[in-house]
Amino acid sequence: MDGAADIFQAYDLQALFHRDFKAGPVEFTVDIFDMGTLENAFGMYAAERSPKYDFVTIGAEGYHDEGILNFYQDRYYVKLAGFGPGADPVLRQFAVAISERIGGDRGFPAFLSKLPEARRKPRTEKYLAKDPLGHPFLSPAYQAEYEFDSGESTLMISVGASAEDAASRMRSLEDHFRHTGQWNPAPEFGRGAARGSNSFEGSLVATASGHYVVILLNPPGNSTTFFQDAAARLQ
Amino acid sequence: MKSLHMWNRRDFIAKPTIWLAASHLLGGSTVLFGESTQAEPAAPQAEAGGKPICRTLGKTGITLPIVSMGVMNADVPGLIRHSYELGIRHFDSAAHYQEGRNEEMVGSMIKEMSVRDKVIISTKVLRPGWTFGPRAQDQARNYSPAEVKAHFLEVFESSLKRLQMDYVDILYNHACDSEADIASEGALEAMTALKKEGKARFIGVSSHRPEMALNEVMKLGVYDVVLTTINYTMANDEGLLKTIDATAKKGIGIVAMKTQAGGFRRPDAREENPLPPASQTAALKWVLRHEAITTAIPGYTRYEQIDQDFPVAFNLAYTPEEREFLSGKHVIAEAQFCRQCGQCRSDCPRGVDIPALMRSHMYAVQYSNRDLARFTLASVETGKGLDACSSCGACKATCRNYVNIGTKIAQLKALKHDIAV
Repeated sequence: MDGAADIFQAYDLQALFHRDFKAGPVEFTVDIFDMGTLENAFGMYAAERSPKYDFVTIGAEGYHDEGILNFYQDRYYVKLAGFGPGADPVLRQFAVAISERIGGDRGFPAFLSKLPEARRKPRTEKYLAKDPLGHPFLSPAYQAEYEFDSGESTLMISVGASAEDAASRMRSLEDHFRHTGQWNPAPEFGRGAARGSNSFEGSLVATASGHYVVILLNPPGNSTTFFQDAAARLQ
Repeated sequence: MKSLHMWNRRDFIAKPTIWLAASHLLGGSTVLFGESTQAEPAAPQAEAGGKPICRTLGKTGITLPIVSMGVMNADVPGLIRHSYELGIRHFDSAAHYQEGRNEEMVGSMIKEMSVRDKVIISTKVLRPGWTFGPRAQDQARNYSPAEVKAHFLEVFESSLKRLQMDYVDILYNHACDSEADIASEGALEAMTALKKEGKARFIGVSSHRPEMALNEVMKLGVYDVVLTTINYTMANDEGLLKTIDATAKKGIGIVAMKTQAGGFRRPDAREENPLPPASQTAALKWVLRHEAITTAIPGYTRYEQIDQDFPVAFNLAYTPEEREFLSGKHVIAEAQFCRQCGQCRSDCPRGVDIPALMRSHMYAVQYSNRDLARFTLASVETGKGLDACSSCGACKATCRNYVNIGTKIAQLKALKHDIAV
């Protein structure tokens, strides 16, 4: 799978099923990636998804571009690529057929419902199985992008195993920023909140909430209420 | 003091095949590293003033620090900025990495930092018909050169848009697994046209088959750069090492990838055995001590990886811990990576297609992909597959790269019911 394989491995690819097909003048390939869990399938799908794509209701969600149709459903991430006149309708028909055969869960990861809906930019949700923000201690995490009057920001929720784990993640984050830049209390964002900043990550605000760590990247000026509400939703 | 981390994609989750290109490091000795009686040649050091060791990429005139960045994901732009701040000046991406999201991130960050004129950007385009899985010959569609050229140009234009650039410094013909891929008329027409237009300053090939790729590129004489797998598991492959030197002498630039031996999926995860952090820098130093290699593009997903690896660009001398790793006596007989060189074929009295069986084993055991394993066995010429391999007592084939052929074939036979053709 060449260098593209690394990210599939990060999402714990279990197996790959590949077939080539021919339907009249159309030739197409089907790759079905067994990602092991719905979260990993969504994570891999979302890692490749652009909000600008033409989305289709196949599986949990899919998108279509000229000659390709990708979707995820249950633990599977499915990629179809076609060539030849009339390829796109054929891809769609085949995708629907595959989806029917897969069955299973056609939903999104349950955790996404914990992310604030207001201000969320559509189709920016992600599941990061490994090394969120380049930090292994924050694994795994969910994130989405939000729009404020004064700019955009990314909300990330790092999922710990326990409150102690979340506290440990906060300490690791503090260690990192103290080593590379600055780390200061940010009481305006709630009790226990702190702001970290350095030259390469910009700034973020973080707090532990139960067994989660809530992080807002490059927080806009009027985001204190948003941040506190996001943390409260996790209690 | 750094804590001992569990490395992620670069975890060596199986016992390593540890061998050493002693002949290249020890002034001609072929003994194991630790047993050499010859003085080790002095390792290149950084320039005074703390600048990294830099090399020139073939005849391109591009001079680079010897450690660069393979951009692995599209979610952590800070990794690019941090890499640049440390001194990395070459960033490698590809059109189909994360369906273009990778190039988008690279482009955004380079633009945000306003450093386009200070960095070397490479990207790669796949030929039409490339698939994730193997394609049976009778299913392979033959694209005309015109179709390949049109596809290549279209994909590359999209790459430039995502990168927000007017040109890339190096454009690779991506994932070339055969001479035919490298010599693809359509791809070459596209790439040379793009070079003429100034949209690609230099052109190259990327390949996981280094000796094949280097030889073909030398033969064709049209490519400027080769990006290929080079790591310490190839230490005793004298043919490859000589080919690397020959290629460099011809003025073709060589960039190393999969330097951490991550190019092949780790063997059986049940043998999980994480290696010490020194193994990572040792692996990188082993590659870069070959001066024919201009730079390496290890992939980074964590800040600690860059922080650990980039200092290698300043000093290639081995630390005691790195020496200990490379001198390890736990070289296992079951070397893990069949490089498909085919040299073992002539050893087998029954003419079994050993490389195909090794590939099938890799799919079955390392990738846990029984379908691919079955497909691979099914594609073997009749009379040359697993059934033709009847017990010879001990397998008579010998791998020049220490793959334990007999053990792997026995394992494949044990799995036969699961992957029955």
